Amino acid sequence: MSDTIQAISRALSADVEGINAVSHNVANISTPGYQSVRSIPDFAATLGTRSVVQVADGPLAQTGRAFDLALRGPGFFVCEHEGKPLLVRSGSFSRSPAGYLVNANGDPVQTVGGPVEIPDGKLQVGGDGTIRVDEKPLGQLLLVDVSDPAKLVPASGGYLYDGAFKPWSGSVQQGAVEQSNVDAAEQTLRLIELTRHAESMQRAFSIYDKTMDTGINRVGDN
Amino acid sequence: MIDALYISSTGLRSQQEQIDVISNNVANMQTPGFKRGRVNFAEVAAIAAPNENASSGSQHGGGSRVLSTSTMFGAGALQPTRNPLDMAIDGNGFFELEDIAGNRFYSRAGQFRLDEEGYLTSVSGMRLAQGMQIPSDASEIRITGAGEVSAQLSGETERTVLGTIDLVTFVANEGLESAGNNAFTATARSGEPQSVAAGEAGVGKIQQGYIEMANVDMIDEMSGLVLAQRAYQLNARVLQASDQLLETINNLRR
Repeated sequence: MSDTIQAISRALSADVEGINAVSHNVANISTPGYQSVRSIPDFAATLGTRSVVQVADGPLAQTGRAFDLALRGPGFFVCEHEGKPLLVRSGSFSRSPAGYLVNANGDPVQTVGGPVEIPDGKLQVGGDGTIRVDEKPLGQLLLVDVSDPAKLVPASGGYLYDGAFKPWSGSVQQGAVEQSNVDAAEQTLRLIELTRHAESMQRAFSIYDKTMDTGINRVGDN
Repeated sequence: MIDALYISSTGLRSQQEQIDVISNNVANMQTPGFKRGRVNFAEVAAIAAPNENASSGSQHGGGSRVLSTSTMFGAGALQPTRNPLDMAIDGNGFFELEDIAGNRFYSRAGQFRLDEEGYLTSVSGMRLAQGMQIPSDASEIRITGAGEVSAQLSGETERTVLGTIDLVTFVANEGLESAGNNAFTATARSGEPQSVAAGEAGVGKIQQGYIEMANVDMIDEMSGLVLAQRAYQLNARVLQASDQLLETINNLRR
């Protein structure tokens, strides 16, 4: 008898989860390198939904700053955060007091041979991620691509990932910052969709409640 | 309760900070040696509930926050003033200044004047830290690209070299902290100041008779303002929609 009520309550919880994901995306509409999340139905999860990172290129903002690097195509930079590799999309890097290339959190950016020390001079980063200072090669940025974006777990400015990697096939652009890939129109649409869906659920609940009322209290009245 | 309310309020707060920084940049458009600020936004990662393995994915993020506001040390335009005591640096160097208490400050604003004892002093009243004294009878002061100060003293036929202005550099400029009056102070994040002769690679030469203007770009600031305002609106819209959703839930049995 209460199947309908439980179904409606699950649907409403999914709407609330959905609006949480929308608000998280909208709050991060100016976060460089942020990748939007979408909550999708999943019967394996406790609440019936799970959020999945939507990996896609965000627009580029030209800054002309040599330490700003933007990724084109799928892929991530790798930074070391508390001893663990963190996949990072935002490339607003700088030089630490010790001279190493670090991200905005102060985590060292990894190259193929570990963290890299940047001397004074003109920094150039090629489209393939090679680092040169005053034409002298210094190393190659470690760039990876993931095979299973659903396994990306957001954590302190990047993503933790424990799945398989695949070869990186994008490019690096120097002097630009990748903006967040949140699409305002899509989020607004989703917002309308979710609020209207919740209202429909409310209608369904209300009508079911009335039916029950008739069935229990009024059958046999005349 | 519905988290979306709190999450969108973090977005509102971040956008407000962005507008604050833009307004400070625009207010200082005409301040010599001013370096524009940039807000660094960061995502607040989901806090996974205990007993929940990481990939179950039912958790959602916590919105955004302002990680830091960093100063962009790109060069500003050099403006000729023809004042012999105005200096601009066409590289990464800084002038080292010292206040009366002996604290060191670092500045790109090269508007100098002489104080009552003849020392080169910034407009905010701080002396050049290495102490450059110019005799009162000096005329035709000349400062070379390498910082060598010379003047014609009365009663002498040759020009007299009075000293050399050295510049300082930092490993990480962006770690410098703004101290007001166009000056910065060194912090642990910037590293120790290193004294370097002007004209060396990367430090830059001293340009006499010029001042460096602010590196604020009007177009960047205006487009940033439009984006920040729209983002603020969208966050407010989400706040309204979450409120509407809550109302619907409250009236389930209507």
